[in-house]
Amino acid sequence: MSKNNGELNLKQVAEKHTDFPQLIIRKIDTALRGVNFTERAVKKAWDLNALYDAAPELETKGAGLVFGGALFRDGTLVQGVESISSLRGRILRKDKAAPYTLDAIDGKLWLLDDKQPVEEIDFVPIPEYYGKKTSRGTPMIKVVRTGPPDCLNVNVYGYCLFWKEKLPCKYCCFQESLLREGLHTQESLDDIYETVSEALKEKGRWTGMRLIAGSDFRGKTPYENDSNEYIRVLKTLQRSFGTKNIYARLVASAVPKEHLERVKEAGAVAYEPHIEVWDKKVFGKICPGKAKFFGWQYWVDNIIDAVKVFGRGNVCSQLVAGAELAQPYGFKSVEKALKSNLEGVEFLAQHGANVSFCVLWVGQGSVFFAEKQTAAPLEYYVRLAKGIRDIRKKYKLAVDFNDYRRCAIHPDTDLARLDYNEVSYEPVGAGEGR
Amino acid sequence: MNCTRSLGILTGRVFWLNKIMKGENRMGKNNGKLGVEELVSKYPDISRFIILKLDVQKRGIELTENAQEAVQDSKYRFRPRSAAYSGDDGSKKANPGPLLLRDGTTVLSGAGLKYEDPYRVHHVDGKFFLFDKGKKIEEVDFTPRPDYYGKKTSRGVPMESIASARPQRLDISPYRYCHFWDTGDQCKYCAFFTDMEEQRQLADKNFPKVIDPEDIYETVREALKEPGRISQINLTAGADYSGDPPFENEVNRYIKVLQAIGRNFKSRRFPSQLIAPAYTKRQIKRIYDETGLSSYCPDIEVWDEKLFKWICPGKEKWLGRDHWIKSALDAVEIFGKGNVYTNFVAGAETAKPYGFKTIDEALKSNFEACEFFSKHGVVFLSLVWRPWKSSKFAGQKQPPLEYYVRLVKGLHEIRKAHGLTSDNDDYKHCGNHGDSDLERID
Amino acid sequence: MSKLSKEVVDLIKDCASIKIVTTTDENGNPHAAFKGCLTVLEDGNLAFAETLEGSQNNINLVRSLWFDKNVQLTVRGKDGKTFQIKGKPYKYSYTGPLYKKFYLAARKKRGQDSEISGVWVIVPEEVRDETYEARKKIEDELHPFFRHFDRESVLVK
Repeated sequence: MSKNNGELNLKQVAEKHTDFPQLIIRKIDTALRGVNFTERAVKKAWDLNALYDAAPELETKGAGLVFGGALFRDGTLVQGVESISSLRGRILRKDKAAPYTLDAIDGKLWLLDDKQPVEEIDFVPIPEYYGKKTSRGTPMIKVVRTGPPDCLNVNVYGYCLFWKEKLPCKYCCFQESLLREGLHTQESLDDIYETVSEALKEKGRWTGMRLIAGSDFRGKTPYENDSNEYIRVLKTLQRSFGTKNIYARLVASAVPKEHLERVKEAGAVAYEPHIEVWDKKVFGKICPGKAKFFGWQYWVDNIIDAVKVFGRGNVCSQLVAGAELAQPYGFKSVEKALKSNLEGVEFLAQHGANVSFCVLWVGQGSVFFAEKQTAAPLEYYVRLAKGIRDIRKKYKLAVDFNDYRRCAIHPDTDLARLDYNEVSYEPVGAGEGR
Repeated sequence: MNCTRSLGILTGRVFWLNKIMKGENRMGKNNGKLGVEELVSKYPDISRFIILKLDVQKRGIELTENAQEAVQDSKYRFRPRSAAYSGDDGSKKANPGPLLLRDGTTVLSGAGLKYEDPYRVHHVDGKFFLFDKGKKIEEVDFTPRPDYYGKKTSRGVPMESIASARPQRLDISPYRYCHFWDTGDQCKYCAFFTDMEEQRQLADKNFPKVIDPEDIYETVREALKEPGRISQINLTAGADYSGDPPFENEVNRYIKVLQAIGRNFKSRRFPSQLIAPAYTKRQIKRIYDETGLSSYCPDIEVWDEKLFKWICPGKEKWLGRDHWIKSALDAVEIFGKGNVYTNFVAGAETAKPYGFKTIDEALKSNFEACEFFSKHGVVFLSLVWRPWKSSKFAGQKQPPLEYYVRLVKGLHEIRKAHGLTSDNDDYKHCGNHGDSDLERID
Repeated sequence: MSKLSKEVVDLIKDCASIKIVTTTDENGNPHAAFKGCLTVLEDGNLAFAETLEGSQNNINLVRSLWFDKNVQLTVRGKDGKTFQIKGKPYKYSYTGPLYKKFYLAARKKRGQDSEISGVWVIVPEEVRDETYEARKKIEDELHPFFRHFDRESVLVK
């Protein structure tokens, strides 16, 4: 079956997969179809302090609205809400799939599917530090952004050398900043310190901290520059927290073990090197930069090595699920794609490492966008999430730092909520404890 | 009510029957081959305890030597062994009372009797266990000996010869004879009144055919002194059709006995059941008005009209199947919905040569009966048929266990659909009906 | 060997402790009932009286025994010490010495017009310390990422 043929809609998928939570199916569907806000919903978002106009601070025109986020009844994040953000109109949806509508009806927020209310929604308020400035006068929103509902995102650096090498990942959306090399100055690090310190004043708000960057493979050893920058930021965060260990994860490139140890020493406790596509050949085609610097095996070995540094359950790779089905590069059938992905997930689980996935978004500026690629069918994501959860459960792997709340974009880790009591930090996988 | 007309109603209501029969017909030709565990898997909504009970009822139990020794303890010692049903070794050792499963399900096991393929009860480390073909199946227990056993009435009659005990019930047979036997018209599965040796031994030489109501009064009074022990009194006896109209003498006798028992209670009615022949509406009314009886049970025994005549010739003669049905229906007007019961001997309707040839036919007939009675507020309950040695059906084959599982499931569902419960005849107040046991989780 | 430590046994036997049995019905609806009479038998099993034959609790317990489902007992001492005991109903007695003991105790407590329906024996399978401090310690060890950053154990200011 090709990825676009015979696709089941949400109702059909729910009926077929009765052991899969409907709310998570809905979440995947919102990611696939997108969500448009009505005027009433926008007004409600303002009323509920879930919208922030950052245009003046970000010095942008028009698209400066920052949205706090939307949650389903169970706390699961509603995805596909780009219509209210700077991504508006920049995501390529499947032709047939009409977007959901978010509306305010009788004082409550509802997700509408074909004009019918299907789920009640809550908004996440914007954080208290938005609107404040550092002592240097930098708007804090420019320094640290939030990932709803619980996460602070700290940008380590914004450029990606894969773009410079003209080897970007094919789903990656180009922005000018990706070419603009630049590192933090002491002043900008101080801004981070002040902003995070200010953010932490908001009681009961933050349980997740994510450090993100592009890729810089340079240095005496691979990705040394990359790790050096993470360490600078981590040390800054240590100042903000007042502790050695920061309950933060690095979304980073494949940093060699010796650098990972330095990164850990600098306070990081979890690590996410994203393999993106498990199949070696398809990986090479979709992620040519990663393939060149320094190949599939290098990235896989890095994931396994990282478990030795951070411990089982504290390392999580990621798949951009659906990318492996892009034509002409990828698999011709979802069955083969699923088999490959789950083999990869199980292989890494045997070594104590997690794999999560995010739904492929085909965004403007990406190779995929130009090629008019589309995401995989809804059922594919449901089966993948279910398969990953089963493997994670089998190996008793925790994925706490990357779950429904601390990351919120992975349907498979949304399911981890059901298994919190079954995790083990003792070796379970065949490849562990060697 | 004209019973033929009532029966005609059957053709109009087949929902439950169809549902039950349709679901089970998928079994194909595997009937009769499945054991307890296989049936537990096949019928996951039926408790394993109830399936086990049905099998133990069907096959009986045998006590190993150490278990036999263990039940001689004063805690368990119930009564002398009897040769009543199928012959015995004649030893004077005591038998235990009814078997109890862990969930409180009672099995009237008939320990001390001879069976072809019985479960064996072992006594290990102070506990009893049921074994089947050498394999340990379940921890079990026996009904404790009640406090009134061993005592005598003021006339010197041993109380245990007046009333025997189940876990929560007293069984009293005020008249120890069945006159259907006089003419060879006894029910063909019946062995109850061929040998009263057991009671005779208990009563020593004091063993009249008719028990003095005062002895019954005193026995019940003594039994009730034991806290929490008794919650039901059951009367049944052999049929005595003498009098005008028929059974009038028997009715008068029961009234006296029930009045004597009633003197032990403050309340107008007391938890009780009379399993008796089908009386006229006037006779039933008299019993209701003149005593504290709370439920009445004229047993139909076999539903199918032709088979009823063949299997229960005495009942057919006195006063015929339609009368037995009418009596139950009339009694509902007096005792109220759910307070009238009728039992049937499940499996006897498959006896050769005239019985149903397939269990599907037998089940269909029984479910029709249950539907009919339920519609009229009568609780139709099953008993597991054993072809006793002293009965005319001796040597006949019982239906397979799966028949009983399907039967109790179907009967339970039909009654439930009609909002009928068997509170006065359930696992605790009787313990002999797998179908009413199932009501515990309703 | 009993799954119950002396601490748990003592807490159960303490009259001042709150004891709750939780069951579920056919559709998974939970049902919780106070069971002040919950006690520990010599063999380490737990026992309590069921007052009413037709109670939802009793029906659920029968179903649990029949279909091999667990029930849960919670005991909480006056100082907040709390244990949760997961177990299986093993036996239901409405005749015999154990039953009589509970029956007479119920009579003594509630008067002559009272009774019990039977006594449930539960085999404990898993005991969990549900005291706040104990659970918090385990949660912090097992899920350090779940803590809010403004907590003392995360942020030292």
